[in-house]
Amino acid sequence: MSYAYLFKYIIIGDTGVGKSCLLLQFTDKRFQPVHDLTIGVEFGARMITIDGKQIKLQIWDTAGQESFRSITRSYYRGAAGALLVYDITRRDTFNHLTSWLEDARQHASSNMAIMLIGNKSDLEARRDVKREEGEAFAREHGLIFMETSAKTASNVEEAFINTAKEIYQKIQDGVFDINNEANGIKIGPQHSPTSGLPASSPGGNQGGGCC
Amino acid sequence: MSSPPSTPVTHMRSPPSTPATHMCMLSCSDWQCSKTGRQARHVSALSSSFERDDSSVDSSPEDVLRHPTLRSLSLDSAFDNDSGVAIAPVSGKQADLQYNLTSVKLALTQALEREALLQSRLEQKESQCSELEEQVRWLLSCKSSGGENRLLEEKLRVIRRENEFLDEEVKQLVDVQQRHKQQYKNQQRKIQDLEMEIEKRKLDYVYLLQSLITMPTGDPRDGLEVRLFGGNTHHDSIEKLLEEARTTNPTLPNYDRLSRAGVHTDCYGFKHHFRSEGLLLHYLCQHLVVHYTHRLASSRQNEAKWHKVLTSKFIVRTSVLKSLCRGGIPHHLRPSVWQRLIHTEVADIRVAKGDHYFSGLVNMAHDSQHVHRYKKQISLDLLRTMPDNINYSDATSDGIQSMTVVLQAFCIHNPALGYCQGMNFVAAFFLLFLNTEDSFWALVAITERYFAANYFDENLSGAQADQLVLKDLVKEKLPHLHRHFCHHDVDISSVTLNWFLTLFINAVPFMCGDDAIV
Repeated sequence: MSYAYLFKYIIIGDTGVGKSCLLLQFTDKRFQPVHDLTIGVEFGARMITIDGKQIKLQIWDTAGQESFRSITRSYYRGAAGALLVYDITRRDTFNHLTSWLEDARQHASSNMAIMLIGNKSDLEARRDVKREEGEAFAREHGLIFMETSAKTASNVEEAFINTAKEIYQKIQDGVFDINNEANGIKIGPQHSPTSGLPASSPGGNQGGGCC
Repeated sequence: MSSPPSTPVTHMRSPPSTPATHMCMLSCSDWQCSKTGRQARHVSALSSSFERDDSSVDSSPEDVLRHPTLRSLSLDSAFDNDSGVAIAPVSGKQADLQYNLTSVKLALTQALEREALLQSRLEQKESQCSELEEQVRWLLSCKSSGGENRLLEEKLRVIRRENEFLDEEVKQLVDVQQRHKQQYKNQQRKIQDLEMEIEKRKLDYVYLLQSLITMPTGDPRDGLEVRLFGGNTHHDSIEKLLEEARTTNPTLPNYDRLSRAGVHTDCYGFKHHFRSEGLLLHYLCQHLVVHYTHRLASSRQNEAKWHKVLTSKFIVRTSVLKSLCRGGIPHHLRPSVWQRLIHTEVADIRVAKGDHYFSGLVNMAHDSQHVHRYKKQISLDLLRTMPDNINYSDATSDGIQSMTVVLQAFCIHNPALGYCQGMNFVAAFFLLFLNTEDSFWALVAITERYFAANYFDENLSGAQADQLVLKDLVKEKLPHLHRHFCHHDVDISSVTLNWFLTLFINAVPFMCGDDAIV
């Protein structure tokens, strides 16, 4: 399927906050009450439309446990957007946001769009982190903020799409150098001035070298 | 007037055989007379001869007088002699007569003795005669039974001939039976071979069918699509084959039930969902492939080899064991094989720690700071390990309890590693086959013996090093694939890291039955 742009996303945050469930809800439009534990990284993709343009989102879902931090770090590079997720029913996941943000700032492109997500908004009765606290943290660190529920699909589409909109806006503003893949943005095959490959291998011609 | 005395004497002196002859004549004429009658006649005969014979005598008169009968006889004659006879010339005659009398009496005595002798002889002869009569009767009876014997002998000969004939018949029948037995054996062997051939064909068929069910999985959003050629033919065939296979292996799923339920729980507790008929067929083909593969002769040989390994004293890392493992461990032997392998690997640790080490760790878990450090993470991961398995789908299930026990015990046993995501898969996997303690030792064996010590450390450095080694191996062994990955900017460790950390458990299909898991 052809697309105008391909944006690379990374989903980060503590273990068990619902990263994989958000991805599943976004890509498959379904909720799995108990999702398999993510070891290392998992991958998902979906096409969205912004400003009439087809944009492919390529999303890397990472493992939350501390041991996997060093592996997760290698995925920051080359990501245009990040979803930093915490669980509104577990304060410790909110407390760890600083540490996640430090990692992101250190290893990702400085232009990376970061969306702060307070997940599990359906569990209002068990809320441990106030919405205002999330908003305050986002404001303080220059992030976009949303509360979502992977279970009810509330704000899930918006979270991914709003992030894409911000990236798209940054492209429009000329903040991103779209020819530098390290920014996590690829131009679709038909849009690429150097493309000579079929649509099935998006942007593949630009790589060439590896490792 | 005087009669010549010589005459009676001569007469009297007749040869000694006379009494015997006389007796013989008596015996013949008076055979049936009573003994008394005969004696009376003897006496009168003797009395008449006494008058004619007065001379010679063989025994002396004194001997005769000693005999009581003779003495009375002589007295009687003396009285006879006294009456009416002149004394002088008569006395001489009397003396002669006396003498004759004595002689006669003597002769009488002898005759009586002879009679007694002859009588006893007669009795002997009579008894001999009756004996002989008895013999004659016996011989007569023998003569008549002799005929029967001949009859019996004849019969015997006939029976013998019949017997010989029957013997010959039996021999021939035994030969025929032997031939038939051999033929039967050969036929059985042929049938067996043909049955094996049919099984093989069935395996080929279901395998081919399984391969025909194509799953175009381009974009994940498309979901799985199954396309099958052949219409209902294959559905019907698979249904039939499955019913047939279920007669020998009732654990195999039932087509109708599965197609209605849309879900199947396999022998390990994993639930399989079927969103379409094609996926169901694919799943059933998989089961049949496993079923038929297990029935192949090679599977039985493999099983025999495993039995041999299990009965041997030591089970260690050898090339033989390695090739056996790669051939697949028979389903029902897997727990024993794993237990032996694991116990061999950690034997020294178990000896050093003592018999009740594991139960000690379990008892310490509640208060242990090492457990406290990972408790939250462990509890977050328990239900996320194998959510599709009925043993681990409920917080109160035994599987979840056992997994908690194993992982917490390991935190105390090896605080440097503590708990790392990945271990939960290993523990849950072993718990499907082994008890809690053996699963704990399995985790120890994996993390401390089979893997490098830093495999599950805080940076997973061992596991990450393995990804680099794998990349180098792919580059060296599969250069074309390596170039392809590079071309598309794909880092294979994104995919392979969890293969290594979870022993492929959540990476390859977990299939029920023999040879599905190595």
